[in-house]
Amino acid sequence: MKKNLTSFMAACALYPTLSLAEIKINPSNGVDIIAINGKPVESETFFSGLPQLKIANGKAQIVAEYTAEIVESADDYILEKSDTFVITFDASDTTVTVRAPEISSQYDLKAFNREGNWQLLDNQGRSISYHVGKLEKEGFQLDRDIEKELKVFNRTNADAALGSLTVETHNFHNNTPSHQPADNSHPDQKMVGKMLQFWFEQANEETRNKFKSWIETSL
Amino acid sequence: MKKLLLAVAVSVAAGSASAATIYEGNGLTYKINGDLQIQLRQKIGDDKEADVEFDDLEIKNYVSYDLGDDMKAFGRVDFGFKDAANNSVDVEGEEDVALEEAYVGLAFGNTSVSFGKMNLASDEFGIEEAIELGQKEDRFDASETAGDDTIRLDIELENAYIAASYEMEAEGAGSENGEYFDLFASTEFANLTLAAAYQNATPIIGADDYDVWGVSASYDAGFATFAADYSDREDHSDQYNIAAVFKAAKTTKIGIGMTNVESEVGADVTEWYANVTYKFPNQKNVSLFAEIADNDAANTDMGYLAGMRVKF
Repeated sequence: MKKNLTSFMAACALYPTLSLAEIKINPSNGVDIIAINGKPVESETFFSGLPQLKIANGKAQIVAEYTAEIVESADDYILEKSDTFVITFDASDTTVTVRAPEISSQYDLKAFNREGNWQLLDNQGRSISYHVGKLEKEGFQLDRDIEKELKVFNRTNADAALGSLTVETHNFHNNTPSHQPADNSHPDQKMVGKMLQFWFEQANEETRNKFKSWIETSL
Repeated sequence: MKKLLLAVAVSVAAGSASAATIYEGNGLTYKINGDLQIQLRQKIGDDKEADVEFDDLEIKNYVSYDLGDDMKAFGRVDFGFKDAANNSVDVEGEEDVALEEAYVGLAFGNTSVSFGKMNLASDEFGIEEAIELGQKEDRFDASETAGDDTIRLDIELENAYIAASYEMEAEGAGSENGEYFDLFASTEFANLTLAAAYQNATPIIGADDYDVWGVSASYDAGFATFAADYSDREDHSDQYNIAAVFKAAKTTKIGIGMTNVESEVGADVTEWYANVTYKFPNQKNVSLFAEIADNDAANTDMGYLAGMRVKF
């Protein structure tokens, strides 16, 4: 009974934070979100629509491209992609709309590639400040490894680099623990609690989130 | 199974969106663009039969070299396959695969000079919004808007665009044809775009030349754009277009328009059209469209079409 109550309380404490503590990314028409926090966005099939683009609260980094319709003659246009931009911003519990300015000529596209003047808006229409950088690859463009390019980018001093994304984190798993304590051992619970708190405070955002969802799924 | 195949085919086509730039390195850029438009169409007219029509089947190659100091050399070759698809019987003396454009040039900042086989400056003119029009779009299209011995200048500014082209008669050469001098200018302020174009044409060597001129305006009211143009070929004919495009939803736009041609050498015709275009929310590359159109000529039935366009 006591255990049930504890898990119920833990679930209560965790649920609101887990469901709220995230940012949703809403790309406008023509905006392609290629990666989120160092990981490429899985390209969905054509008919399933937009993938769910969510990030944990706090500092976030996205990689985005814009496909512009460049007017070529009175009744035709060609599609041109912008350069590949890295955008880093800070937000919490909101939907971030990612927009590009209106681009209809090579002149506009050149200016956009030079300035990187994206518009990031929260769910109340206020603009969110951000840092912007570019991912560039020399040579053939068909086999770009965005994850690798981002790792290199995030180790630089660029404004939009997010060094914390290059730190490897532990993957919690739900199978039986590798170190099964002996039945007769009684670890000092005060010490265990202290250590849990200590290491939780040391953990970065990603580790904390992984830990929280591990608790949620293994309880 | 069929549905799955379609899904695979479409996702492959959609996935190639990012494949437009093939190579970029050491100042060299190589891009490929493609345009495929296929439609079921019954033309306006008396007792016309419907058929599957290939409007655009184009592969465009673009190469540019960065020469430093904001200078670039570029080249473009476009191949069109629509005649190969539309004609079931080979026509003697006609190539199935057409070279649509082939030119090289130099760009200095936002100014470029190019020469080769390309569209004339007056091809930029016109506001009609039809997917297919029975009439020529404007008096420039009724004259000539493409050349094969052309030198062209393009200047792009923040709120203005200027183009000038000269098509040589190339007397004695394989590409011998008319001589055309074209100008086009457009400017944009607030939500209004104004444009003007001029052409001096000598369609056959030794023939009398004539002038074509035109003006257009379009206004973007947010929920819709409204536009009109007027073009005139001296002592021959004049034409106007009125068109409006409404954004019915983020993905859907509805276009309506009409054109009227008054001719001193033939019959006057008024044609109208209404169309709808749907673009998939996640892909600018794919659009579906449908259109109905009719004119006031005697003994004609309404025309219609429906089709799909894939661009990359």
